[in-house]
Amino acid sequence: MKCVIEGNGVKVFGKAVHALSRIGDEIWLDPLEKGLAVRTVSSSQSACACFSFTPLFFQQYIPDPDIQKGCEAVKCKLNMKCVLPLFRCASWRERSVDRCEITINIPNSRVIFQFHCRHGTTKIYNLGYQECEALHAVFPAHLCPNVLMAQSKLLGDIVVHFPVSQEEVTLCISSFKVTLKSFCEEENNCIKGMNTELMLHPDEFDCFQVGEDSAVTFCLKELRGLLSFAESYGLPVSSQFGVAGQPVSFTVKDMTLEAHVVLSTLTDPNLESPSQPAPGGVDEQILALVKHNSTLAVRIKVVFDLSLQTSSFEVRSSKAEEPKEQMWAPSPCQKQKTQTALTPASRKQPPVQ
Amino acid sequence: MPLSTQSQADIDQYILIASLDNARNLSNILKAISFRDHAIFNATQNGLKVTVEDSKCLQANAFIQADIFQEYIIKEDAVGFQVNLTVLLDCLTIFGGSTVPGVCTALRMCYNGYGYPLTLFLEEGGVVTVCKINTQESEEPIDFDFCSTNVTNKVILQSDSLKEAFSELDMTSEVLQITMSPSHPYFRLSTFGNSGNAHYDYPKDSDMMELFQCTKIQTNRYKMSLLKPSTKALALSCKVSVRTDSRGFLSLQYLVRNDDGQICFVEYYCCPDEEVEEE
Repeated sequence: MKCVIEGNGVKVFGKAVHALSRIGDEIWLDPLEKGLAVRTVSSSQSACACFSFTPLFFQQYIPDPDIQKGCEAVKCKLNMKCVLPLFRCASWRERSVDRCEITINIPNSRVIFQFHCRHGTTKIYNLGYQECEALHAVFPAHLCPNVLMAQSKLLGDIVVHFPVSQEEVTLCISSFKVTLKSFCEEENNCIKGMNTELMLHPDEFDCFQVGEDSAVTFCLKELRGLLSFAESYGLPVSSQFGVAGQPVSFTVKDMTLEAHVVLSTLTDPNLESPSQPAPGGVDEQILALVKHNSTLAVRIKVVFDLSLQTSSFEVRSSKAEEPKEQMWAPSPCQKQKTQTALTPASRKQPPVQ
Repeated sequence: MPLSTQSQADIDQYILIASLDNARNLSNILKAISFRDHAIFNATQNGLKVTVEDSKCLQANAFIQADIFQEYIIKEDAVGFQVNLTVLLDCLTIFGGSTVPGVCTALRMCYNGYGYPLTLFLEEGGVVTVCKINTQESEEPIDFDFCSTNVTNKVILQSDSLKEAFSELDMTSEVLQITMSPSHPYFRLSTFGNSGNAHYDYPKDSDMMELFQCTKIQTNRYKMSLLKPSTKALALSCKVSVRTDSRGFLSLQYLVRNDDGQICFVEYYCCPDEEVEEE
């Protein structure tokens, strides 16, 4: 893969890398025919982010000379700590870089970043990469009952009220209002710390669609990167989500790029049995991940129990019929088990309760 | 000024007296070479030369010419002594880092000769401090034998461009490799760290390149730990000259402008780390 990004685009690319660095420690470069996807997954696999740059973004974009022949382009996994310093947003760097070329050198297993700067100076970084399948969240956003779209400035003004240390927030939606409040896991902490709650009128949103009243709790820290990216470029942010326990997705779109962040949410703590610890902590929930392997296609199906008692998931190999593993036994006090699979193959409408 | 109330007898016994209205004109430049505790002072009619060495591989010199000082009296051809540089810098900045414009520390540095301490009279806002720092036997600084005739490659760059590179250098790399060549890549700084290699190329026709005289390709490696202290001097300077000789020894010379716009020089000499096959 070879691509060339000119001046301003380097700044945008750098900000995208910064946004991704707020989520994961590793970064994937996935050259596709439709553009370059830059992805990351949080270490707990509770958040997935992807910035897709269309060929329009680049001065030149050559995914792979062999891609037309059906060979898959190489997917590179790099350490975020190695890539982030290259795009440190110092003001001098923004002024001085004319052009950036990114090349994937397959024989040497190196990704080469070449920055052509003012005064003729050139900075060349040869970084080693691991060839690794791309992980991405499969999330049918069109199935989500609730959709919100707001200007990034509004969201920026909202999140500034939450302290940087605030991990999780709860987003509640009803026909009349939207509330964003800080979330604390233990009741004791709520008394000691500062809690913030903001209420918004539906009119403040560019798009306000409520299919189902709900309250979803997700990690705000992981979202801040995308929000600051959107605010830098004045782009609106749209969000699709359902009820507690279903992932929430945030999207920023432009002519030349598209950014998605998918975050897992906590299951509703009010309906949990006190005897059993919550299986659906943010760190434990797993989004549907479709992993393609040349020898074995493994499909991980995530099952969210809509009665909000448990989450369980099955790992099913395409060759075997029986599920290979079952994590988390169903709760003994669940009454009715309904299943929703978040995979592309079986798209069922969630039953209305 | 209170410093001038010293008696004539006191003044007569000193073999070296150097006075500055702004002690920062000395302390700033000494900070640029303060990577070790001990410094060798060598004062001549021309001015003051301060040398700091590290493990016989690195030497830094700061030159403060006589005309920088408001008063410079030397009664012998050469006066040499060794002092603890850290202590000296602490004394020079004893009134703290005053950033109020117009307020600065005045200095009179006096030395009686062999066996006597170095005496500093410092004054700011009417308050006088007297510091006496014990001196040690002056060691002979290493002669790196770096003379102009042996220089194979020389470039002079504006410091700004190198400041960028040095601030970003991959510190996981043990060495800094400097390549100088009459053809591409002309002047290249390379690091070899945990994440991979990085190269900083400066073409000979760059705006930042003031002088480019390279006769043959030379690639030399220097220990990063030895060169790291030179970034202090680089930060103060406006121009830097980089020279290598036939043995691969490196000379970095920094042109530093002090608070009053006067010019001082700092130079670093460094031994190469290992023999690298020339391409």
